[in-house]
Amino acid sequence: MQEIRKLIHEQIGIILSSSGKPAPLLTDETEFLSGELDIDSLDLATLIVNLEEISGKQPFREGFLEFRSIGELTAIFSK
Amino acid sequence: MYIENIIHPDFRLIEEGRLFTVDQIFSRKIDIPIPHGLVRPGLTVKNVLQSLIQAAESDVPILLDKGSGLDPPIPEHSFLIGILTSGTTGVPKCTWHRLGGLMERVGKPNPGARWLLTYSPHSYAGVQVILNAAATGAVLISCAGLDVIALIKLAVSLHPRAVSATPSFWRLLLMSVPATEDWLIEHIVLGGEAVDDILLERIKKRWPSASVRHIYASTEAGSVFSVNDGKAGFPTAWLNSGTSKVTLRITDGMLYVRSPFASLTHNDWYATGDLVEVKGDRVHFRGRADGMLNIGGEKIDLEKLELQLLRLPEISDARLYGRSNAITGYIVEAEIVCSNYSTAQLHISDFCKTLRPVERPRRIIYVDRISLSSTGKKVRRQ
Repeated sequence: MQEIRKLIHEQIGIILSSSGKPAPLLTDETEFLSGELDIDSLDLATLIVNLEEISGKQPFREGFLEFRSIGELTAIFSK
Repeated sequence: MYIENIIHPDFRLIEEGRLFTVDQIFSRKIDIPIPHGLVRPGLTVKNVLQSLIQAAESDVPILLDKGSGLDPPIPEHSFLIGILTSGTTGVPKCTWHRLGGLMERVGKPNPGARWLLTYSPHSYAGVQVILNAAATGAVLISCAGLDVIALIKLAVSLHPRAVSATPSFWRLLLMSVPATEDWLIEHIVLGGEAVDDILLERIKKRWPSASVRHIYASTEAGSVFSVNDGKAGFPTAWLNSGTSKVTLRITDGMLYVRSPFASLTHNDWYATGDLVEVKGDRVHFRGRADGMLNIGGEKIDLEKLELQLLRLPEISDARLYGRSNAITGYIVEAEIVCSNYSTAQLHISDFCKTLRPVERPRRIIYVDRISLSSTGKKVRRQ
């Protein structure tokens, strides 16, 4: 789980820095689309696709799993 | 049909935080340059409605345009509503509609309903939501110029009971609003992009008592049909029986429609450009014949972008395709063949800065050879 969390933090960092935005402190409670992170839905989609490619997992294949925070996404990819 | 007769007296518009009654909307006159007769209203719903009313009274055409610079030929000098196609970047086309055609899909009076407008007031979808709310006596909430996240925040603060939006908007809404939020939505309408069964299931789970329908429409063909059985695609039976006064057929894998409510020059058989596949009792949408990708209602011409990429130095071959995902439906990805990786990277990065965010390849994969389908074509969806 810690590996996945680290991967998510890394990928968020890459997405933010590629558009010149600062990366705030990331915690499990950080929500993706509440405005805390300066990312949009395309950025989030990119994050998910990258996570799938790197981890080799496709947790949404059978159906969408709702998530809003880094912690919730970490749990989904850690199953 | 007179426009003042179709606006229900209970209709209310809440725009930029201000409330307007029907009397207040009717009271202001817009200057219409007669005899030219073409009016371009501003960005607001109020402006659009006032211009429609004035144009109807003066029996002149009105073009709903927020500044394309287009000066299209006017087919006849009587009350017609001109709506621009969304298209991609490049010159949009103007389609002319009679008010009767636009009103055909309006629902029954429902003064209790509160609708959120998520579309541009000038778009076909926007006009349908506006006319529907006005004619049914509903409350319409609008705030022009808000980005999607801000619009969702507005929705969360106002809790509209009825929302018509693209599947991408609904995906974002589902992600942004906690399941614990006490927000009852009674009418859920999806349009502007293909819907998938997973999204419909998520919506049904979140709002189990809502009526849910997805609409297939285009600016040219108008509102073709509405599906309310909870499944993506539409029933195969409609290819024989038609639906809602529209007839449908499939030729060479493409959907053709014939609708009496289409725009003026499109009321015979119209090639929609949408590829479809019949699987048993269901017809499924399979993307565009022209390879255009639709993300959140924005159209992306993958082939045109690919040609531009191929003109960059060091790039010997490229393939742009839509990578499916559960968040936005698709993102653009690129496969690149190049001789000098670091030079190519620089050029691609500069090129991407010139593109709309939705067009930018979000992943770039450097390969020795572009992957092709079994028929030797570049695959546009993955």
